Amino acid sequence: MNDKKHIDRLFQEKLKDFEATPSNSVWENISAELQAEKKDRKIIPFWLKISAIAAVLLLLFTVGNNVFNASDENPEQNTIVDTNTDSNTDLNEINSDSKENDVIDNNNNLKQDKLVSDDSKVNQDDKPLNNNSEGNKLVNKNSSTSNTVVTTTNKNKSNNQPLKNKTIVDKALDATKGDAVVQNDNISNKKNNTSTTNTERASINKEAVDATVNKNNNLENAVAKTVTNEQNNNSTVTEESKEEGENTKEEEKLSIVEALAENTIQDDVNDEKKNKIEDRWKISPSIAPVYFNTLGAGSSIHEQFNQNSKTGNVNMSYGVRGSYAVSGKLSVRAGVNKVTLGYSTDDVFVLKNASATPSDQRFALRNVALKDEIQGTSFVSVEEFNFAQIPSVISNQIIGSIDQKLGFIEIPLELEYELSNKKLGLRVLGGFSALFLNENEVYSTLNEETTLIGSATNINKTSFSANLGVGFDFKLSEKFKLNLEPTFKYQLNTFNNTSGDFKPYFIGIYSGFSFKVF
Amino acid sequence: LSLDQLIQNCKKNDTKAQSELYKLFSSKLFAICLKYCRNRAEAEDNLQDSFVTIFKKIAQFENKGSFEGWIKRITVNTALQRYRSKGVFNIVSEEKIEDISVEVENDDVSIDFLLNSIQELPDRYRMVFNLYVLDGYSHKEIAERLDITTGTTKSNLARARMILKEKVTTYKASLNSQLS
Repeated sequence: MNDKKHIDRLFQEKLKDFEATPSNSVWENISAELQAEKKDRKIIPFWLKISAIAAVLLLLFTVGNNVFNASDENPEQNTIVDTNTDSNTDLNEINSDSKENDVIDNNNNLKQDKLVSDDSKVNQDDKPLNNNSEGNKLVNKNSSTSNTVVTTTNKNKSNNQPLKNKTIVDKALDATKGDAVVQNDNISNKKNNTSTTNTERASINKEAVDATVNKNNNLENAVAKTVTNEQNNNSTVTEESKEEGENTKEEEKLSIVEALAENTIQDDVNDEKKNKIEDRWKISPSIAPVYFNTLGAGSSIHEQFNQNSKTGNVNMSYGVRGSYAVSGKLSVRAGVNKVTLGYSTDDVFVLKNASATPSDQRFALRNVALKDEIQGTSFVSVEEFNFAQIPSVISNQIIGSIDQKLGFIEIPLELEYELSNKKLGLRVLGGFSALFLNENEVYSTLNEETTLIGSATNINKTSFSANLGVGFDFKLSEKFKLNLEPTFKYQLNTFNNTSGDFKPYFIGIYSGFSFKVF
Repeated sequence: LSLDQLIQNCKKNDTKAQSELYKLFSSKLFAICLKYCRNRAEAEDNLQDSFVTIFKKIAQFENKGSFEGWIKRITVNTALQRYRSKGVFNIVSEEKIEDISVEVENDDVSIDFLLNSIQELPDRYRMVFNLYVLDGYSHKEIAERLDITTGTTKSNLARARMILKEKVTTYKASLNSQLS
């Protein structure tokens, strides 16, 4: 009796058809783990990538926003300043008048001391104040004092100062200076004006209030009339001059209000212009690094590589697009891009001796047409090597990778919707791209040496992708913007006959600029 | 539903097909797990891990070889990894032992007893004995798989046989004493 064989045989025979039923909980655990596996493998890595990109972008734009904000504020302040200067010019006009009055007054001072004292007081007050209401108060006081001290001259001045009307003031003052010739001229002028009655004058003043543009002319007339009236009837003139002082007060107030109103109206008009689509057409050249990979575990080359790790390559895409603004916020855009995509299937044994492979059929690259000189080389996933079937001949094998490179002409057709149109604008965009294959190569990389091994046979000449992205704009001017658009493009039917869960996509960070054409 | 169709459905992550496949093979694979593991609990753990791996990798399976052989290899691999990862292989001394014969009569010893005897072996003895005697691997294959020398696998196998012989002998002696 051969004892040694016997104990082996005892176990072999007894356990040959041995089967055992595991407890029910095992399947429940497996099922639960598979469900978790599905979620883990597909969703989390993808969202991690997306959120990582989002985080980087967020960081970039927070920093960028802070940097650009410094220069951002100045132009806005300038626009505010612009409106101020508009109203200032109105004030300046009034001020310049008052200054000119001052000069005139000074001339007068040489001739009539009493007047000078009154005038200079008033003028001195006028100059620093530039405030019409206060100026008018002083004027009113002045007119009351002028009535007592000097007769016609002061009244004229009291009228002149609030009115700030130079030419008439000149004449009026000159007339009061005792210059006979000038007086006569003035009187003759005034006589022409005296045809208008007091009541008419009042109506004219009302008109003056209404029409700011004609204000000065009316005031001129008004002053001229008061001068003539004063010469005719001092008592009435003083009262009227008071009235006029009040009127001019109102006038000036109104004129400022109107000037401001005009400015605001003009601003409104400008705003409206901005809101209207001035230029519907935009052209945007762009360039982007594009990252290509697959969402699921699968392979475009061969089933055996489904579980191999895939390394997405970063390539470049560049192109130009035109967009047409359908409404203020919505634009349609189309363009043409050249895009290169690539990825590597890692952990591949490259067996240079064909006889070493267990089965040629099994380890041929199903979706790759090999070049003639490459025929006979086999590519086997490391995953395929179970301990029981490692061919002992694998002495010349090296772990390498298979690199697939694809080039497309991309015609994107997308919609973009503007969320924000500030200095830093924000848009969302979505649409489709047609992809026309123009480059198709498969390489094998061994020891950092890359060899062209052939081309893929399972890539459609024309395919499509679904695109989704976010656009950031930095407005340099109304017509010129810098853009940054991280866009996710999911390839719908680029590959045929893939194995496993091969879901190719690419992410491009498109950067460029856009300018409005017409 | 043919096995091929079942496998195809499993490749699509069809839960129903996965359940069918489990029902079809779980008892066979559980037997392997029981042989390669220390006890039932660890065997069930191993079965779970094996099936998860099978369903994850089923897309790689081509209908060229035997599906049963493929899933059995995965199950054995899982067990080997289980005890390798626990670092238990180096506990046993590797001194050279003469290839000794053990005298056992082919009596009606129960499967449970034999299974328990295997499970009680030190991890590496159990692996080598299972791989060599029950699943037909060569010493070279075992050595490569376990990352040890063929001398060690042979020595381990001899020690495993010694232990098993003693167990069977003791068992039979107790049976005899009960009978008499």
